[in-house]
Amino acid sequence: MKPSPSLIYNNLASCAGSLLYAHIRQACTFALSGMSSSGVPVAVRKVESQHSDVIHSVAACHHNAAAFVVLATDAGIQIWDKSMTHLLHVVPLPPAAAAGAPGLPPRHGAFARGAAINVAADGTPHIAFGTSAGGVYLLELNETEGKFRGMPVALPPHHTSPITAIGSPYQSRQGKWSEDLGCYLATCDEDGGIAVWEAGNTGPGGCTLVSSVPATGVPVVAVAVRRDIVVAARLDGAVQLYGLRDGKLRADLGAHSRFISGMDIHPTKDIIATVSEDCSLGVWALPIGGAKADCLLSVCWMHAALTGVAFCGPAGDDVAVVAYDTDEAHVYKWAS
Amino acid sequence: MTYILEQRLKAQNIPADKSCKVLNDVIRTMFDPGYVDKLFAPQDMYTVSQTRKIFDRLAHSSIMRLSESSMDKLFDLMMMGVKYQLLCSTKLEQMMEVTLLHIATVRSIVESLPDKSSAPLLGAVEALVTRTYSGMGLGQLHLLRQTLLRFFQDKRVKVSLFLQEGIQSSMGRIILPSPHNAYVGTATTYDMGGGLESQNKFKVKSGSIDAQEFFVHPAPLGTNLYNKDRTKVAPPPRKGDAITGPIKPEEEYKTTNDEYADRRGGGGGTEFAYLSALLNVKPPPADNFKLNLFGDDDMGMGAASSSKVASMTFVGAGKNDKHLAGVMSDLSLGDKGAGKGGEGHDLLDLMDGA
Repeated sequence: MKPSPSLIYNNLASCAGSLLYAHIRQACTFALSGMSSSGVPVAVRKVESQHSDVIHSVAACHHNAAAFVVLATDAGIQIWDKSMTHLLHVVPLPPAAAAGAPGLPPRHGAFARGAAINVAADGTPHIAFGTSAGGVYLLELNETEGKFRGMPVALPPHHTSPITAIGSPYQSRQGKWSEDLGCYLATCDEDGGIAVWEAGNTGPGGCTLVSSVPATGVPVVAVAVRRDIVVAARLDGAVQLYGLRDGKLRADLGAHSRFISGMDIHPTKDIIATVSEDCSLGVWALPIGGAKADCLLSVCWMHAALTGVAFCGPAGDDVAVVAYDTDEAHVYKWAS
Repeated sequence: MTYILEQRLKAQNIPADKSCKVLNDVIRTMFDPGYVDKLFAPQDMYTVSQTRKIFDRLAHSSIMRLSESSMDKLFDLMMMGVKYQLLCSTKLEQMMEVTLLHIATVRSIVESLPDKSSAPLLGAVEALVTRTYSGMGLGQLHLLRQTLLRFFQDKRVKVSLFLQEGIQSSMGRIILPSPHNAYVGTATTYDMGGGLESQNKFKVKSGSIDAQEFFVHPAPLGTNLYNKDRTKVAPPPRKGDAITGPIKPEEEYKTTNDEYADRRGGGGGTEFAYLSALLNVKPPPADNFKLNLFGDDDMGMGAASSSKVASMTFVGAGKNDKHLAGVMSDLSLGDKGAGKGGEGHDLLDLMDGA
């Protein structure tokens, strides 16, 4: 499998039977069906694009039967169709993002990072994305036209450091809607802060802050929302579960020894997969709804700094993993 | 670079006065205050080819001349050394620790020379490094790490010293530190009041793998591994490659093209012409000598290892080009130019007994 994945947060997404990752400035995709256990190289397609900006995150966003791939880059976000053949929409980085957080000198270059799909309380689907200035923006999807429209709308200021990850219950369910999902967004930043928003609508002032977890100094690398729990994977190896509405710590899993790089949540089961630069992969049953925490799978991919993990396969039970600067992908099949 | 040059100058019995001049000239250029100020200005990261060009200029800031092959291999060694230090850091603060150790070791090299005139420059850079990076949070430091690893992506070269001392596996993979510690596998739950509800510990794979498989070289990251007086390290036997994955063909570890070359077009011709002017070859001074650093077969195994490194072509115009031009102009070269050619000394392999 060439080219190799870059070391960015959550550098693997599963969409429409394919796996997607970023190689520096280029998105790459290959079919799961093309993988075999015989070691025969899988055909990787480098996505052709006029844009050549450094990619900071790759996310697959499912909405009913549709799916989109969102690339967050130095220049803003790109929204592609599920086959990554057609670039549907480009959103330049909002000017405020380039300026840095208000009142603070710029600490780094400007970029977008983190994306998730959500549905507001008024039924409007939208994609939320984050910026290096700590801004979070919503871009509405016009379901009738099947197009993204208008300018992105900023959430009220909250984060003062770059956004690292965004999640929602709808994102965690991979677009499988249910009435009890709610319209919450969880946004996380480099200082380790987490904010939970309720999206009433996608207009200005349409989102209100519900709860927050103060910055701990340890970045949140990946986030998922499942029922009334926010699942946050932190850079130091901890996966922490917080109450959605009160921000209180409910559980702490020692998932890795250092540098968690990615997390994915199963679309229908309360289990997560986490990977780390320390070469380890873990699949964990979450202590949610009375269930006990459990380690379902523990693997070491020797001398590989893992950089992305995704549930995949027909039932979403298989786990795919890629590593930085390594020309392989590993898939662990669920033995039912 | 300084580590390798110092070791090679000694190994090839270059006269002391010339060695001293070479090292002082390179260090004086490398740590020139104007040049350092430009390096520390916030900017986009240079490409591999741009960085190679800078180091080529640094290497030729002295009376020493390196063949292109030697410069290629020197650059490969430098790249793999830094990549190893980055990947094997288990704490983000280690990036700064390694940098400060580098500077301190370079200072000790200079202070062992008859002419120590370049030593004060190092103190200023040490202070600048501390000032710039010590206030950064974990998030910023990790972004820095990710950015640096992007630079080294696809740079895979087998280094004989690394293979011999267990830093690289026989397949060329850098051996990473153990993923196991007491925290991994723990699960703690809290009740609604925040009180401890339960604690469990799960068996994880990392806890059952022989610690030898994650051998960590005893020399602190940033140590001068090329110091001949250092005690050589014999790594413990490892199953290593048997559990790393499918056997990789040798060509996986040749040097690869520079995938980080700036793809943006427009204005590249002007910038390239400007840099070509900077690199204008001038007649070497009379006491110029050629240092041929490496043997033909010391970088690894097979023909793939002797292939040339990334092209020196400066590609395209990017956001960083004016800044890079400023950086290059601050590399004070005097009369020394960047000439190549001439016959050199016979080679000695850098790596003994490769």
